[in-house]
Amino acid sequence: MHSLQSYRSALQEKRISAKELWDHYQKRVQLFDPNIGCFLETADLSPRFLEGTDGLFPCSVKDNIHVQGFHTTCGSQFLSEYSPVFEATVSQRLRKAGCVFVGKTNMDEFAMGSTGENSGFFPTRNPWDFERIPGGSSSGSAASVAAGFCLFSIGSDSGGSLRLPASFCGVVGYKPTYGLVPRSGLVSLCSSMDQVGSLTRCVWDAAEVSSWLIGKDGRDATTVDHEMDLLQRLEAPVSGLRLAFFREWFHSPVDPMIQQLFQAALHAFEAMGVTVVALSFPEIEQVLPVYYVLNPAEASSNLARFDGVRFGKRVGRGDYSDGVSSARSTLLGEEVQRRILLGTFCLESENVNEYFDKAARVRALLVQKVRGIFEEYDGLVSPTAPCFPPKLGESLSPLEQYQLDRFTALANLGGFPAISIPLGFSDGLPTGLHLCADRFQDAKLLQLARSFEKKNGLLFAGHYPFPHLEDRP
Amino acid sequence: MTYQPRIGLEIHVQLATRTKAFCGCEVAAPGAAPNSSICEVCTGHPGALPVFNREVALLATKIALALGCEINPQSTFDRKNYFYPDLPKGYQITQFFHPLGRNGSFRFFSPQGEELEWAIRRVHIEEDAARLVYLSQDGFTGIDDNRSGIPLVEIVTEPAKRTPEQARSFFQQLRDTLRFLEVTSGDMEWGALRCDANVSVCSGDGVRCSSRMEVKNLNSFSFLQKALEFEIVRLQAQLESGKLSSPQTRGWDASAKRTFLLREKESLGEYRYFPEPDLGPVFLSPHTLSGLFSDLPELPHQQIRRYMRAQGLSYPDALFLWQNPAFRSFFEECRQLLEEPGEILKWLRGEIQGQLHRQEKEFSQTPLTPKQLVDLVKKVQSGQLPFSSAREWIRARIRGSEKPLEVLQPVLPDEASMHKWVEEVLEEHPRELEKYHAGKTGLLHFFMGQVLQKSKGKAIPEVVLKILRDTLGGKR
Repeated sequence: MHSLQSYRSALQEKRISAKELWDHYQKRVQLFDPNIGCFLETADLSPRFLEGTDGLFPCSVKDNIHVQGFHTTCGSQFLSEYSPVFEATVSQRLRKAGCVFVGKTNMDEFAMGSTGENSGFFPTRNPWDFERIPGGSSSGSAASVAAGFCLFSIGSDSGGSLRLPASFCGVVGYKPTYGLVPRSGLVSLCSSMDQVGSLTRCVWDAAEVSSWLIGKDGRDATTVDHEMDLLQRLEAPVSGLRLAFFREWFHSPVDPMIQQLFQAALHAFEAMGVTVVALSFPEIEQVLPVYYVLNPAEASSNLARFDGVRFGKRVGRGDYSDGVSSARSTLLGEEVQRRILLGTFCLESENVNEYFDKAARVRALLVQKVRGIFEEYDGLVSPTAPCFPPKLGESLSPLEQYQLDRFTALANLGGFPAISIPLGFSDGLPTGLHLCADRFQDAKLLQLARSFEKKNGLLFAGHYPFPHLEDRP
Repeated sequence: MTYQPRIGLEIHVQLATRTKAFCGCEVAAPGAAPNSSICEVCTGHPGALPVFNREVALLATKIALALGCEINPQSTFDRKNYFYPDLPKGYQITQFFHPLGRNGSFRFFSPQGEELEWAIRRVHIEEDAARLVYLSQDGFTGIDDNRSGIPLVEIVTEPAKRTPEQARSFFQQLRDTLRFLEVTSGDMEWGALRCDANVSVCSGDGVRCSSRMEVKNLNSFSFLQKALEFEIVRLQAQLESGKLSSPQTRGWDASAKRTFLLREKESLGEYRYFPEPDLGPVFLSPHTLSGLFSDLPELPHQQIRRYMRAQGLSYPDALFLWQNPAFRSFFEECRQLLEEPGEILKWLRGEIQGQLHRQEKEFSQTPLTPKQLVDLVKKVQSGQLPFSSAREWIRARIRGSEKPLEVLQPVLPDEASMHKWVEEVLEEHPRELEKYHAGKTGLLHFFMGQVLQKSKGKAIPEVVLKILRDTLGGKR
């Protein structure tokens, strides 16, 4: 009963009540979260609330999305006491669908990071191996689903922040097409790439949860009115569809075990009647440089409001500019400061041509080319991550960290829908398969992912397996 | 050595929308309680996103069309990034790369009635910042976000070889036009219209030029003129002494009547502009554009020019009629009855306007008819009615008297007193008399004026003229 479908039938057959599931999750959070560190704040709900039909689906929400009754810290000391003044559109839509919030999840500060170690409070650990990172930036969200603390989680993805932790934690991470899910109430990192999405225990749940979230929002001018049924084609056969992957993706090192699992996945697709073609696309090497110019540039502007005047604690007693620099240099973490400096540099008048403008042009070219590929192929397939989850404190350099996004960031540059689904395990550690499709082809993307997960044989009782937390100290 | 100033103006116009540019907050009335009209968007709360108010696009396009700009049917927003306590988000949403309007011009009249044209570089939409309130007692600064997010249009002129007086005329007539279009309240005391002026001075041969000075916040027409005059003198002195300063941003001290240094402009401002990713383009369909274009009324400048041409009026008279629509139709009716409009305008601009002002009345409240005024003018001109009586009648009329003009008994002074006044005037002005005899016959009107004044308006012009001619005539 850890997928929406199985839970719903259990409810109908009275094998479980909403309160029992809620209590089950509460108990697990109390028992195991001290070892994992998923939550920055947990709900204090009276059981009365759960007697109605409101509290059917316990979920967690990344702490950069406003939920009424909770703080929004963005994993930053800067906002450690910030209470949002309005609720995110996605949170409202979740409530309407009958969801109840277990808590707000830990994350890399302001969603900057790929390991979860950049949290301004404490790092989240990987439920499969406490010595390892869960991936980021939606670290607590992915870990909370993997650890069985909630039915699903809502997070954000600007370069892979849902999909990378999904790969490292053995769950499904789905980023819908840019503009489908409202960003109102999501604290912006990189406005042109941020998208709210889900972490779930199966592809069906990803489709169902997202179907609650999508739709035009009067509070977000970048949302689109696009009729879409994510569930209708979900179980349809995929034979005749075409997938492609880029040879250049494997020019940089990829873990041999992952390469092996990936080859097996391609065979599985072929066995289902899907054509898989290897393409050469040298420009793909430009994805990360472009991403790591544009993301910091937009971030430097989006984070300018955190000046200590309106939000955050005031540090120092000097004048305005003194107050701004002391607040920002003491309360913002290293990676945040690095990206603000990087972004500011890329936008300065003497650098803007060489950096921001050039990156924006290359982005447009890349996206144009990839959309051309999508005219011939239904999707791109790759591993989600080049490696299994690294050890906590393995002290990856910033560049090594950025490399973790190399399969995922393209989807954000183009606003494409993309999903990571469990591909396999090695030494008890999970790794994910990545699928990406053209804009608004979310239904087809989910159909491909669903057919793979059913074929791949990792599902158990309709959902991916849990780590055995009980056995560990 | 001659010098030539170059002046460029940047004018911020607060648009008269009901709500702010990017959120649903109502635009608070001037003087509203601080922070009484704010929300998460205009205070820059994390997670809040801007949503463009379409009304802004329509008003701004009206301005750009009136200024004859090329309209971009897909103008876009950009972020201007800088830190300042009045800027909630740390950036201002503006239009930098692809503004709404470009390459327009504004036609206006110099005070002398000369028709001038000033090129407009660009017209773009942006949002206002918060208002900082300095709380002097405790040294704290308050932030009033009522103003933040209010829609503005910025009008940027090309730098032009213009005088401070012409700059003033431009600004004044631009305000008249914007108010006429009902796109702004134009209330300068509330900051609904603000002007920054750029000025530099070059030697006549164009070889040597001063740096460009920007004088901020010139929020009255006379401040604009005075600040420019002050700067031009200052920059000329710099050119003459050879001690040129770097470009500066300056302020205007109205009480000391001088500009003062705000800051040196080390670079052209590091604003790290980039396209605003939270907002799409401002789409203007051909249908919308042609609708706005055809709804555009005849502009004040065009109306004034039409009066000048059709009625043979001077610029001040035409301007007066444009500024006083109530007088306008009245005047046009008078015009049907009287060939020469000069006397009518003299009465309207003089006695009638003055009395209305004194009696705090609107012109429409008086029972005066065009026919009556024309009759009155004719009677005064023909000597049937002394000016003073006519004036009394007008005053009574404006007070509401229904006494018809016909009952006025021409109280004509006897010829003897008129003779006496003429003699006195000629005795009092021996020098003018001498010049008259030397051939300056135009002085006849001077003597005439003196006599009328001495008589306190009782003398009858035609009779005085005859007496004057008789008295002087023998010698001429």
